[in-house]
Amino acid sequence: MSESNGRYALFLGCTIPYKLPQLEAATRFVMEKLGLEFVDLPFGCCPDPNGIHSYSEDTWYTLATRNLALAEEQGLDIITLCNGCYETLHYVNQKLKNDAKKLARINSLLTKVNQEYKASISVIHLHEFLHEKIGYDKLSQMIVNPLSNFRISVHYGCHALRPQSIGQPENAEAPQWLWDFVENVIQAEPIHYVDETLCCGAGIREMDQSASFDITKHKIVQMETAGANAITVPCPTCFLQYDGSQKLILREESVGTQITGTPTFYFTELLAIAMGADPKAIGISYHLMKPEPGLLKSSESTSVETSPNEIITVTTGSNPNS
Amino acid sequence: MDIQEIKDQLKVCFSCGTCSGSCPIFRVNPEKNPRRFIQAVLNSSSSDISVLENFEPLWLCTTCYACEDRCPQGINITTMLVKLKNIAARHGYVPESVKAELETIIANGTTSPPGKSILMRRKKLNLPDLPQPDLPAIQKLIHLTLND
Repeated sequence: MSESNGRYALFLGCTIPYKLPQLEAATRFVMEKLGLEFVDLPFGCCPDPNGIHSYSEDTWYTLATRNLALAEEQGLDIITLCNGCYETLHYVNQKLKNDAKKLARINSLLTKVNQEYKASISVIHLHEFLHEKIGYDKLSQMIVNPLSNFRISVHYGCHALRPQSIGQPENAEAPQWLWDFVENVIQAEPIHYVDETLCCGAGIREMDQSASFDITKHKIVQMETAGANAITVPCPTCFLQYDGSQKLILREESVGTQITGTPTFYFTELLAIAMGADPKAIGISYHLMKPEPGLLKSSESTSVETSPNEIITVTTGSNPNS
Repeated sequence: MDIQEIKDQLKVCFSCGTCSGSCPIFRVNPEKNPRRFIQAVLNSSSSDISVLENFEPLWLCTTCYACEDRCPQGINITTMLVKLKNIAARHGYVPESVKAELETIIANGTTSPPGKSILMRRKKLNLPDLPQPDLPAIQKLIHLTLND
């Protein structure tokens, strides 16, 4: 990592700002609480680690390096909010740091648009950043609205974890941080299920919708059977699959009967609400899978009646469990 | 990388099927069978790209890398499938949805050009206007990499 002084280039990607801006609103709320400065740069598509990578590795590498160079010019490391952007930028960055010949070849193209990349910056996923750079102890001290009525299944998504060969922060077969986040930061109940690290199916939605939805449904059935009342993801593409696609799956009578429907949240949406954000202000109402009334409670309304004479009110600025 | 170089990487495959057992798509669509792709490539002649003509199912790979991470022979399976798709694409065997994705980037610099309602939503959520990408630079780099 370069010396960032709390400033980072925020790589929003394509999906979050222009399809799911509510995920960006929740993230900016959290970052403001943490006193971090995010810099918006004129990034293009990362590009997609599946489609564009499969079409032309040269195009994929070159456009990714152009984005890396934009952050490097400002002396900033990159934080990504999307597994796909993380995969592309982290993968390309790691390869170029270890392959001077390839870096020189890409730079011979970048020079034609007056850019150069020296491979000096780092790329980090927001969920890794919160665990490694902020720390869950600090985060948990900022919780004013513990999400204790949530029973949450985590879907990590493939591109936050694989391939392991490029240096990933967690073991892809048994990742732990987001589960710890659910239990120890936002204070919900983690609901484990069988195929936790299986793909969500979004990657082939355009080419084989039936196969894509079958995979998603299979995972939701497992989560619901285990008792989950919410799903959380660190990726907007996975979010679209568990939100919009789940809605479509429920509409298809033949398969819809096997799941009852479970609301999905990007992980910073849950963190923002636990930190006191008003769910309306961060755009939870734009979700297609609507949470049941009462599941979401902003800090203003967080008072739990335990007995006629005892009202516990969660107050702002302290963690009742710490 | 050409077909022969890909074959050299794949030749240590002993057909254990860990790749297929790990493939999320194979679970729901038996046409997408990584082990079968590997065997088909190994059985093809190195200069013959006809092996790619019937490779529509190859594009069903989500690049989840589960097969690659788990291969007991250490074959970079997902990476090799990507390289096969690169060769297929150069010969025109590419799904319309992938072509359309690239066209969208060429036209906008992103895959999600902002619509009116989303810009309104951004305003309601008090989100800032975002700097727009340098489209001519992106177009030039795509042109250079696809036509060199």
